[in-house]
Amino acid sequence: MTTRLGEFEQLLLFALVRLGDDAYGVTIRREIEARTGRSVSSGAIYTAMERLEARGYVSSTIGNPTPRRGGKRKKHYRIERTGAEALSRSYEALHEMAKGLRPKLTNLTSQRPATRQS
Amino acid sequence: MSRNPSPLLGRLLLRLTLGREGREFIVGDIDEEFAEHILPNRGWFAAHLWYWSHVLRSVSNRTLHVSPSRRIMHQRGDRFMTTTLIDIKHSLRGLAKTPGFALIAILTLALGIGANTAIFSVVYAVLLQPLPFGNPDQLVQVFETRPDRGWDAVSLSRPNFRDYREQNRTLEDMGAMTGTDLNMTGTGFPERVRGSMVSAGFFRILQVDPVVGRTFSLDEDEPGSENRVALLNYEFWRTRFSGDPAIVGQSLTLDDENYTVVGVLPPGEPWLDRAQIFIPMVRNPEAFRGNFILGTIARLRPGVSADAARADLEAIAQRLSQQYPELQTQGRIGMRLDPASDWIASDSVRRALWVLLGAVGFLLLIACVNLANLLLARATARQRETAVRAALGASRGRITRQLLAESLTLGAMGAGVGLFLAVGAIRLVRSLDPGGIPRLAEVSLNGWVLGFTLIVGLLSGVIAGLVPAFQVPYSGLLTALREGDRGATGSQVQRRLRSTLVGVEVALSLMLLVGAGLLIRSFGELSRVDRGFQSENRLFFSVTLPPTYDEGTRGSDLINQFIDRIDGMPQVLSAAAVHIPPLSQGSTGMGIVSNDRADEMAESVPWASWRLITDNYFKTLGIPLLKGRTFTDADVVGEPWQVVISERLATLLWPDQDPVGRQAVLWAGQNDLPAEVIGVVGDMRERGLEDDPTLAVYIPYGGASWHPSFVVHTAGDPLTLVPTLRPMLAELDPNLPITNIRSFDDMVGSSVADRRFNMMMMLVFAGLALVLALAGIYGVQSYIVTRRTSEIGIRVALGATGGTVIRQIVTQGMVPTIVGIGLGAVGAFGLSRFLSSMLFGIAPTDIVTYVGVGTLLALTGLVSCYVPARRAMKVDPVAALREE
Repeated sequence: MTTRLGEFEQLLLFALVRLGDDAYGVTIRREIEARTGRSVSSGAIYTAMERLEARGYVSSTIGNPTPRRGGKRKKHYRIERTGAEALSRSYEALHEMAKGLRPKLTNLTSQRPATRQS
Repeated sequence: MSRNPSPLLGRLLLRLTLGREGREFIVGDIDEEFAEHILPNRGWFAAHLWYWSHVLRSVSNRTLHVSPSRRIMHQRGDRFMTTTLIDIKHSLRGLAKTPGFALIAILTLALGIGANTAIFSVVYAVLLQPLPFGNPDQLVQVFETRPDRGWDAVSLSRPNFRDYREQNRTLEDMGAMTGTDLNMTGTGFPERVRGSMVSAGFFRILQVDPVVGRTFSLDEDEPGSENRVALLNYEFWRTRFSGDPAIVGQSLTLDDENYTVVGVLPPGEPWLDRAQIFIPMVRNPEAFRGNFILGTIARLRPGVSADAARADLEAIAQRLSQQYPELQTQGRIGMRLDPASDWIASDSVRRALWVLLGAVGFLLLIACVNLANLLLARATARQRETAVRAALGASRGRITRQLLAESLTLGAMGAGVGLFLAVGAIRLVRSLDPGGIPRLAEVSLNGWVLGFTLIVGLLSGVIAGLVPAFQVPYSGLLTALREGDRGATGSQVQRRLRSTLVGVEVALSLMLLVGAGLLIRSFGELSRVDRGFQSENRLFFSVTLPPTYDEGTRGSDLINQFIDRIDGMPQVLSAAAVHIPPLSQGSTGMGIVSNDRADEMAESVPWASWRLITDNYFKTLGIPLLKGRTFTDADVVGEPWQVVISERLATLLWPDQDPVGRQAVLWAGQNDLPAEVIGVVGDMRERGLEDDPTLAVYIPYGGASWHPSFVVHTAGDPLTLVPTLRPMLAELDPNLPITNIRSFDDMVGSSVADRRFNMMMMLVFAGLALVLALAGIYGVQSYIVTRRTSEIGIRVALGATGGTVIRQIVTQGMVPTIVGIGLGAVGAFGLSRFLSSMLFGIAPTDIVTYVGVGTLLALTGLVSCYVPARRAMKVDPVAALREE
């Protein structure tokens, strides 16, 4: 049985799809921050990735150390087939639910709560 | 932040808190992004903010949201660790829920810990860090002593050095160094460089390896040797020759001679920084035995103690003093061997540093007491929670541990923030460079300092957490459960405890304030002391004359011509030359006796400093001529010797007699030159404001060519004169450099810079202590007043006037402050003797300081008691009663 993807997990998987071969901690973090304005911590990325990896959604390979990283190695992530399937299921569901709602949503968010004035 | 820009501390934190899995990648990611993207784009401060928020969030994410697999691991793991982790998590949540409390607590601790870390990093660099030499425990510095004159460290003369070196049986080798200024020409502007002559083996004895090239070989100080070779100091090489290794083999023109650079010394203190250029001290069999100029080091043979070596050298000294009358020993020569560990800092610097470390220790204690008070209030507010946990079966130990975990967490966080403050403080002190702190450039955070901070942080956590932890209610469990946090249970005990803490805090603050007050008073006394000279609107600068000026009167002619030209400028009131300016390191000395009492004085010949001066020296420095006359252009150095002496010397040589016209013997015991006293001038403190005025002998410059220093008295700011000086001197000789240009005020200021620094530090610490004490008293008083709101309401309802109530509250509140002041005074009385060597003109028990500081603290207490009392009076009695 497959568990559903959380929102953060979806963001991560989308980032992997976008980044392709260049996906590792720094690029993933910056991709998410640049597109969503959300600053996530490296710790959070790895915690979630470990979870996704345990479910077989992503795989990882260890890269080479660079001096800029203080001699630390990189961990590259790739999205796996099952991960891609789960992501597209989530995306379809979201897309279906959201279809045609843009104007209504805009309307709702731009509405101000009624103020009580005499 | 040098090669790797990410803060060391952050990496350490990540290392300590993250599990092995994933740690490498997280650390690498944060480092990489910080270095490549954040730091170049956001500026230092914002980048570090980013860094830390990122580190902390990563840590909290990895430690708090453990993945399922990890959670199971924990349960299987060590019970103690598991509960500890739960406790820490619990405290973090608790602190996050009360951010105001957390902020105040962490900041309080951070102040104390930051101050401690900053001072400790200086203490480490100055007192604890090993020297940059091989086997430093075998190294000693060698002095002669003259117990009969009360001199405890005399430099060696060249012949004495040679004899000790050749005759000893306990030393591997001895090396000597003496300063000599050199004119460097041929590289653009003529330049005066700080030079030093060393015996050839000097750097071999220290066991230092050159950065490039080699050090001197052992035959390079032999007379007649054509090897004119030089070694460069590291800083000089870096700044003057841009650190170019190709300098080795090139030649430099020093005092009109060509020297080949053979190597560059490594950076470091001491010795290696004594000069910019080191040249060999060519052995000179003719050197005068009574000229004590050599700084001397030695390396002990393996297994030989310093005491054994001293006995060995003293035996040689004994023979020398019998053999050579020019040593003027009159008693015996002793030897003094200082271990290398004492080289960096003089006794007074060491003592001042320990005192400052003690002072910040007090500050930290005050911070801890404050935190204990805060935690106590928090424990009271959470009495019900604790009671519930106890009722559900938590053991007393378990609850205590949880409270301790909270204060330890606070301690750790305080240490983290404190490190930040310390880094800022160290940068500040380094950029101010107050003077008088050796190795200041080497002060930094390193493993030792971090370890110290960690220990201090944990200790403060324990100290602050102990008192509240012992307050866990257990006996009155039921009442606590029933009454919750509004109950009266324990409030009596609590109140007493909190008052005690306030008393302790006031006592500690008073001790710090007394320390600061004593230093401030000393500084005040020092700046009011009668210096004997005027420093306002005076300018000093030096000119080095190469040996060509030694012929005939060439040197003094140049000096006189230059003075005449300076005198001709409209803003100049007076100008003169002296061969060693006041307040400088150099010193000169001679024995002097009065001719008519020579026999009677032979046992204890007075030792006077002497200066070559031109005629207007006294006028320029504002030294009064008391009797007789000063020099004229016609007076020259040499026979017939004529001297002006200082008042103290006059009184010593001819008590109750007019010294003018009398005969004295100069260099008594050495050359025995008869001289006539032509005048008496006022005393001056030429060795420093703290030293007694010197016994001084003034000799006319006429005919002499010693490197002169010029002093000019101007009508306005003396520094405006500077741009005109060089061209004016260049007209006389374009190859003479002008150096050491400083206003006399500035020289006076830097002669007391270390004292001012100590005073400022104590003042800062005492100020912080005062603020903490104020906050502490205020906190306790507010708490008590809040607790008594209903009581106050009833009393007001029954007709008590505002004044009565306020008076009563304030009186009660002042009790711990007053008791604290009393105890603190006793403590300060006991501790202040450690300060006595740092004081000037006042006693450690100076009553003005004690009364002033006591009053200040009492006023502080009064304000912090009055404000909450005042607030209580605003309570509506009806509302207060209804709450009951």
